[in-house]
Amino acid sequence: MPPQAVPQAHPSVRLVTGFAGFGAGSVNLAIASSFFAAGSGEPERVIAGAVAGLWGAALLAGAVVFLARDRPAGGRRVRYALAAAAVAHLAAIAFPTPATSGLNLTHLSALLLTLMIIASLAWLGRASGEKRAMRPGRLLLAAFAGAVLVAGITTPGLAASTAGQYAVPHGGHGNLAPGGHHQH
Amino acid sequence: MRNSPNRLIATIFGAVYLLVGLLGFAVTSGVGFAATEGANLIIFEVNPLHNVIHLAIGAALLFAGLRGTASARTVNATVGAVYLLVGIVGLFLLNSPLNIIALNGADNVLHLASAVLLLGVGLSLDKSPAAARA
Repeated sequence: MPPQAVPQAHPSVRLVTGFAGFGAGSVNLAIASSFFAAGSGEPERVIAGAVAGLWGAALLAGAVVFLARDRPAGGRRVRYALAAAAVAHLAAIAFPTPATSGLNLTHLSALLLTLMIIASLAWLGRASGEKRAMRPGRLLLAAFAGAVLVAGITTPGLAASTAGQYAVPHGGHGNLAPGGHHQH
Repeated sequence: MRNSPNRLIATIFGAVYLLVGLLGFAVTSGVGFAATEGANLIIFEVNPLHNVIHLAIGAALLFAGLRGTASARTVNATVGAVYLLVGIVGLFLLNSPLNIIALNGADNVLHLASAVLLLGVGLSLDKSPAAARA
């Protein structure tokens, strides 16, 4: 019996959109942790950290809702929020402040993932009337390629954050994180 | 099984994780059970605890993949969510001795890719009742 097609609209693009949402959410949480890890208690850092943390949590929750319900939570407003986030990441790269200057790669990673979500949603919106059947094996290959792409963008962003610098760089222990876990 | 992306991916990932768990023990002799410095399996750093986790996850995924679509969906989403949660919580465990599975950069890419793939497929595919009975 031939493999049954998966009767959903553009499942591979939907999956990649969700993957990018998970990646962007994780990177925004890393940005938040970097602001909080600075530990200076300056109000601007605390506010920036809180905003990045809330946005990261919203992206993760939105990715779950999108994958489970096949449509983005919040409708059209989501696109404006995503565009605003992309502008904020771009501004953080173009006009670095002492608080953001060490996070350029992390912001770049977040920017790329946010743009991936915007582009995928636009593509899905334009092709919303079409139904495309895809064989499960081919679908999984496309999904795997998308997951590796998203992980390949997300991981350098996480590694460049303050949290990533503490995350056990093998062979370089103790160099980046004074008082790190090997010194306990 | 060929009709269900969830069963396919659970079975494939289960078999691969079981194999990686077994091969890991071949390279981690002499490494402490939860040592923060492990040994390289190709480019992925592992220690015995990491191997045990690979074996447990592999067994759960393989069992669910062979059992049915509903089980595969549940286990895929659960394992994916746990991987993602551990990755995110780990970001906030700065300056702590809790990194006990000897992660390196290659591990992080693979774990994140596994997390988004398993969670995405588990949440998104095989949702129709007919697919769930496959």
